[in-house]
Order: sequence, then C-alpha cells, then structure tokens
Amino acid sequence: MRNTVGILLAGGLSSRFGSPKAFARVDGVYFYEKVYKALDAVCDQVIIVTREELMPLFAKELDLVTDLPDIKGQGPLAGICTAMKLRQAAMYMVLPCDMPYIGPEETNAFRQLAAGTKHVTGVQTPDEKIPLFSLWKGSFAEDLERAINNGNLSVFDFLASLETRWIDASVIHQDQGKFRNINRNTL
Amino acid sequence: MITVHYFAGIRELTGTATEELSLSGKTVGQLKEELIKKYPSLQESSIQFAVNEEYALPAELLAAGDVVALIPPVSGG
Repeated sequence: MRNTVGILLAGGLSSRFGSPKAFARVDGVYFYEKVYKALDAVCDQVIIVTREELMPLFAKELDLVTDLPDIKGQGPLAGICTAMKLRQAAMYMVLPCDMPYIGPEETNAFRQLAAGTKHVTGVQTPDEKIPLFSLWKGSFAEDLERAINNGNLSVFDFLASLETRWIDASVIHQDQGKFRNINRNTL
Repeated sequence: MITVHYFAGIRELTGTATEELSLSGKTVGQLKEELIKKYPSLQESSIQFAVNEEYALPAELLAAGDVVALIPPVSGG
C-alpha cells in the first residue's frame, strides 16, 4: 500500500451552522473525532487543517495545522494545499468535518473503489457531487497554489482542470444518509 | 491467502463483503474463473478487478497478502 495522508478539513467558518462544526456532536462524539476515525482507519497519518482560534479545542496529540500564511482563509482548496505542502505522500484522502456519518467502512470501500485514479476521485450522490470526499493521487500543491493565487477558489473548477472521476455513493454504502453533509444546526 | 472485497450489487450476489481465498500464485484471470464457479451470476456483471488499489489485468499474478477488490461499474466524468 502506498503512503497515504488523510486531510481532515476543519477550518470552515460554519456561519450557516452557527458554531464550529468540528465540535458539534453526534451520539455524544465530536464531528471531527468521527471523521478522524474514518480517515485514520485507511491512512498512515491524518493531518487536521483548522483555524488558529480552534486549535486549543482539539486533542493535543493530533497533527494540527493552520493554512499557510500566503493562502490563509481561502477556503477548502487552501486547506488541501496546506496539507499537501506540509505532509508528503503518494496519496491523500480528503474528508470534511461536517460529514460525521462516514465511518471506517465507507473510507475503506472508497479507497478500494478509487483504484485506477488518475488525478482525483470524488463521490457523488444522485443529488450532488461531493468534491471534498475525495482521493488525490499525489500532491497537487503547486497547481492548487497557482489557482488560489489567481483567485480561483472553486473546488469544482479546480477538479475540472484535472482528470476527475466520480464514484456513486450507492456503491460505497446503500444508505445515502451516510453522505449527509451537515450544513445547518438542525440535529 | 488473498483477501477479496465485494461492493454494492456484487456483494448481493456473493452474500458477503469480504472473504479470504488461498489463491496466491494464481493469476487474476484464474481468480475470476474461480469466483464465477462459486458465484455463477458474476459472469454477467461487468466488473473490474483491482489488486492493491490498482486496476489489474487478467495475467497479473497474485501474491500472499494481496487485497483484491471487485469493482462494479463506476461513473466517470
């Protein structure tokens, strides 16, 4: 197996949600802990990209970073770019902290199903593409940095510039509820 | 031993998510034949074989510890 780094995106402003989503709970467990477990099961190491003010809230032993200064606060592409610059790996699995229903079984299935990934493989439900639940073959740090510096912060636009495949969520798990992305505080 | 993983519709045909088979030293093509013997309905499905997370051709040799995934058609785009 190739060296794989998990990138846990926990730097969103959660403005629609009202409080940091990483520290919302499901079944008494923080969202970020759920997502961490899902990544940790299939990655050699997991890096959490978050914001300065949230750093003290995470467990101390975790690998926590904030966006690199020159791309700070530029959305998920900046988070992915930061992680790729700071941790070298042959593969990266990205997962955002607001998908707490994804567990080790789903990340494991996704890893296997993403065989043959040229650049990036993402997940799609019948309703939407989920570009932030994705597997990246190698580092795209330089391309990401260029896009960010040019003001192109759209994840979809970036993926459109690469060879991106989409795997149907139903192949990973029949229950589409697993792929719910918790944007609003309605739990 | 090799470990074989099944997903989605294929899992419904096999009735199991994963199994261990003593097929090290055999090829992916031979594995496919074995699996079709065991689960005849696999024959009709267009499946891809991946070995250790890379697509594998029928001639590829399996080694002990390999992880094989039978991949149903997945969307491109």
